[in-house]
Amino acid sequence: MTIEEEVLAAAMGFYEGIDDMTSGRGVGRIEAAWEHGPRVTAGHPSGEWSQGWDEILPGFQIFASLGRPDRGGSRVRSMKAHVYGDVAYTTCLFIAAPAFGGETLACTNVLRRVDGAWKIIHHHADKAPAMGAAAEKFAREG
Amino acid sequence: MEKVGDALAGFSVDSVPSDGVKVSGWGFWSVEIASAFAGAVLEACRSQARGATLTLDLADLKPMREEGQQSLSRVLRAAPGLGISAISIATTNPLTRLQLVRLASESGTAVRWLSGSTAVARDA
Repeated sequence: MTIEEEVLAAAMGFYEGIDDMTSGRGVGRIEAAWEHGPRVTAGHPSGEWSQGWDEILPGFQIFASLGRPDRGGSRVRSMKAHVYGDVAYTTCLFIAAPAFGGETLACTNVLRRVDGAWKIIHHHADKAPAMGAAAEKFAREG
Repeated sequence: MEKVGDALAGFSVDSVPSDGVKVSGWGFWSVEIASAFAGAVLEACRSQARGATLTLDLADLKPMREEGQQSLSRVLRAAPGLGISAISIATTNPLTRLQLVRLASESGTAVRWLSGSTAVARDA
């Protein structure tokens, strides 16, 4: 496996975790994909920033609380990795699950290699109004 | 006015007999801040006459960890029983709003949602 393939696999682990999250399978794979420190950052499709893992995790847990088996089905395409030593970034298109509006979001992830493992330290996704509307509908339904 | 926390994260509770209970929450709550929230707000609700209103300005509140969610839920479930006639919540952070909408739905308590800050002065 090349270094670029390692980075792609690490980033894909995060997106598999996102589908777990919306499918009601929790945030375990998301937690595994991220570095858990105060300097990691996430820019959400809702347009908000979370600074540090302590803030980032609740954001994913909010969506996980809305997850159900029939709300999965997100996809990723055109993922590319670019490596600079122990830091790398990926670009991709994320297609939200149909239940969450099905929008296509351009996304960037920055990863860092620590002790041989690539972990996400920054994530940014396009805004996705339909995703927000669907999530609020699910939240109101309880 | 009771204030817990600091400029980065905390909440304030202001109870005025003629104007109801006005609460402001901001930042990313620690366990300590989250744990103090419900008791402080419900105590202020108890000091009001029946029919008073509760306004929560949570425009600058970040999504909460489990302790904060439990504290908010406790307020939403208990306030009507203390004579609070209406609860309003102001939010701007979409993630926090999602969290609050779910908590309100689960509590079964009617909430009036406001956009933006209600200008409850946290430093007053």
